[in-house]
Amino acid sequence: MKISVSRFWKNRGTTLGLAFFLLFAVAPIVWCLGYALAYSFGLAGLLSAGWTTKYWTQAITSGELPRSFLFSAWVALAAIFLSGVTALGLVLGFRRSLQRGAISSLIYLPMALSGLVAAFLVSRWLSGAGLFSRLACAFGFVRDPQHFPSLVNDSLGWGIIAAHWLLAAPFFTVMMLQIYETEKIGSLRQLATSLGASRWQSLRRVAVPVLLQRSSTNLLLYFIFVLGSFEIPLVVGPQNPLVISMLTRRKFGLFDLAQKPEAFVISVVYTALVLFFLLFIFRKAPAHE
Amino acid sequence: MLALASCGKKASERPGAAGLSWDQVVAQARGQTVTLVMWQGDPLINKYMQSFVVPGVEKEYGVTLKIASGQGNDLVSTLMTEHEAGKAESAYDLMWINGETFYQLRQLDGLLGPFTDRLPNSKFIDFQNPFIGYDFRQQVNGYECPWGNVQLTIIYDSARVQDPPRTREQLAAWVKAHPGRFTLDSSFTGLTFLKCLLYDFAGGAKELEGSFDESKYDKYSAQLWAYLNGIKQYFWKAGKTFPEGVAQLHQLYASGEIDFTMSNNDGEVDSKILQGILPETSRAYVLDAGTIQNSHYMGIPKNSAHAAAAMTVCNFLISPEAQYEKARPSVWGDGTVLAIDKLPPAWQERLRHIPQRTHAPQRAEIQAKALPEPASKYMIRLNEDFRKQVLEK
Amino acid sequence: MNNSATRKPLAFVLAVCCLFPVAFLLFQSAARRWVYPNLLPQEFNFSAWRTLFQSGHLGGNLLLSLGTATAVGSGATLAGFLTSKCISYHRWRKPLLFCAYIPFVISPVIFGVCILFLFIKLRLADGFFGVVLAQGIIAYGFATVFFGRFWNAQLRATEELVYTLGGSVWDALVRALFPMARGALFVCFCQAFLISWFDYGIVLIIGGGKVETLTIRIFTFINEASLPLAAASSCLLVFPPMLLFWANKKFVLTLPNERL
Repeated sequence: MKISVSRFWKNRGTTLGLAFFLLFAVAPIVWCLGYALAYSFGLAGLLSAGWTTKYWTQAITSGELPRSFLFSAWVALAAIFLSGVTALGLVLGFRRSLQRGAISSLIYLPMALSGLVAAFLVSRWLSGAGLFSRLACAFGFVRDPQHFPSLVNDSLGWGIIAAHWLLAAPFFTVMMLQIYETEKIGSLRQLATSLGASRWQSLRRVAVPVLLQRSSTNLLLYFIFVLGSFEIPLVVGPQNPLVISMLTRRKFGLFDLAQKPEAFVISVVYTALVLFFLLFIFRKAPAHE
Repeated sequence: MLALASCGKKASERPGAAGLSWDQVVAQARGQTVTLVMWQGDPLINKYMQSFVVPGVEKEYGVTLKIASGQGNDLVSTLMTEHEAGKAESAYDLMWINGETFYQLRQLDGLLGPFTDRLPNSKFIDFQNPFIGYDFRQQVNGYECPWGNVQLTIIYDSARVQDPPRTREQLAAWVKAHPGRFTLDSSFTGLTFLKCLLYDFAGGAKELEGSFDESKYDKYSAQLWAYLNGIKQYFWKAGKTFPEGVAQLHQLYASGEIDFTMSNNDGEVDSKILQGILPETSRAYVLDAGTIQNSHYMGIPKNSAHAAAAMTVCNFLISPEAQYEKARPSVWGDGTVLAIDKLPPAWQERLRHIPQRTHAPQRAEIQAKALPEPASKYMIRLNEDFRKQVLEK
Repeated sequence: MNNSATRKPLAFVLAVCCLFPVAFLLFQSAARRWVYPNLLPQEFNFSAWRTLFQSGHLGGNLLLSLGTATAVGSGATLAGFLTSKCISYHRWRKPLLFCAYIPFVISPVIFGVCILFLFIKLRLADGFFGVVLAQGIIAYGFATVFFGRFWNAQLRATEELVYTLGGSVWDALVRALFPMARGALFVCFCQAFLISWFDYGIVLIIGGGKVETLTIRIFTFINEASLPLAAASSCLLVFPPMLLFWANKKFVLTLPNERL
């Protein structure tokens, strides 16, 4: 009897749980996509005058949207690549140093920085009158701020990349250290060496592929996060091109109200892109355990 | 084009908007909370609001004033989304607005009014003054309450620049001779500077009088963009990017990265020096062709839930006490909108003897070079085209 | 490369690098009149800290951030824990988990822009609850994904055992599942807490300037170029998570999205 009561409640619980999930996780996203689609095709909004594709044409042909997506993708790729390489280098080169003494705890500290704070720090370090420029001046490398290759608000987005690197490199380092242990990469390398591989070969053929393979999902997820980041580009990004979220916000709040639907065109394209990447991640890791 | 169905109650039904005497407005306001949304990009202004205005309105009218961050286009977009969603009561009760926002909000029929004639302190304001009674060439008609009056000045460090450029030709020559040492912000102050240059190309303010003229805009803005594109490679960061706002421009100047900054407030150089933000050797001046003088205002959204309380805040802001405090260089250095000869003698005396400007030009000196704002659409277009014609090129 | 001759100096350099951001924030908070090209400021004082503590707003900002983050953290963790159980044992586990990922990875600003209209309609915009709900949706997605990996056959067998022994659903939850998940619940709570604690985009758009959390305050200071104040308030934003990370290192490996 007890068991059947439990089953009854369990089934009801599952239904309730799924309903809750649909209401608070799925429905908001469906709403966002639906509303953005409707607005972008002129079917919603104060100035809407019925079905039109002009906002899509406008957004795509103006060049701003493709530029913004390419720029965001470049920034995300560069940030992930540099952070990943830094982490790989540290883990493979200095693993033991990172696992002993105070450094094993201190490495967690940069991860407590928020995007806004990281951006603020980068702006204070890498701007023309920033700390590094002052150091360069003190050592006689530059005479004044404009001779320092300022990386803040630059059109290649190095300031954004630097701030993301500040956050992501320690994260990936800690993550790869853990993978190194759980995957017993040390033993695998030892085995490879005993079978005649050189140290370099064991690194290139064993350690690096395993580390990359095991961290690829997180690297991809991080790529998606950087693609949609806002605070960091807001503080250290250039005004041209704008990253996706900044362009969306700009179009959303322009004086020229006729451009507001373009904000939703960008939202739709961005969401489609995110869904595509997520599908890729899910296909790559079928069980996703 | 943007006429909206007025949502919620009609303005005339709103508390404080119809038929109530000032005493009744004050009585209704007591105990209410007003959300004022304003630009919060200046620490002195923020401090003045928090330490003088907030306690002042609490004490005088029993109104709690909460200040939220937001400006210009963000406000329009927020109010528009509220309209779209049919929200009966706005999130905001009072807004610091300038001409271009005023224009948009009037188009949207989003402002409460006329209400300024209801404010007892408005009798001290000279609405006949075109720099006050007109906001970007649009008559205010009681739909916004004047708050401060300022004129654009260029600020330079006299220790680094002995003979600052006074014409656009001199400016171009100086910029070319000193690569990387000049820029303008891409926000309100920078746009005001662009408007001054546009006037200069047009041969004076008279040419751009009246409402927006597309052909004139095309003609003179083309010259302006050609001028800027001709020298922008000598700007800070080779003109590939511009500081986001005037605070960043000040910061670049203060840290020695550039030699000029600008201010939409002719008295700001003194207040910033007093605060230790700008170097002591900073000086402010206006271009020979003149610079724009304008006023900033307070507007009440049509669907504000606390319109009566918002009116009392406006009345406080234009009181001689609040205007005097605001005009002091150590506080803000913002120009008053009060006509001094309309004030009681004691206040006339005090306002005439505000601590003197030491690094900024005297108001009387630059008044002759004051240019009125062109119609707001000029700014809207300049804002958009600056991005397309200069930033993205 | 791992010999001790290089290890110690390297460990020292790395330690300095890790400490540098926080040390610089503290330094910047006290620096005054720091003109180029001086390496050190002409003046040091703690007026920014005094201003921050005397203004009376800081306490409010801190409390608001703390309240929002606690509400988001606890709500999302509990909801994520319970619903992920339903999802994990469901035959549509994979597509449902896919759906949970979307709010978690989507840009908060774009999400905010698209959902604002609905929130205004529901009278949720411009207030504490709206911000908590919007952040909660993101954190809930994260928590569901997080616990998606938690449920397994062993837990299911334990739960069945409780029922077999006469326990109710409540007993199974309180006496078996919660105690077994204590560690994971704490880790999830901390991460969901941080999603809210670090958030700027959602508060900006859904809060409409009326919800002034610590991140909003910091941006105001950055925007007005009040560098010492921005640095001092950044310290306040950074210290709590720093303590959390120090106390519980392992939870950093769950990839929250708030720090972007």
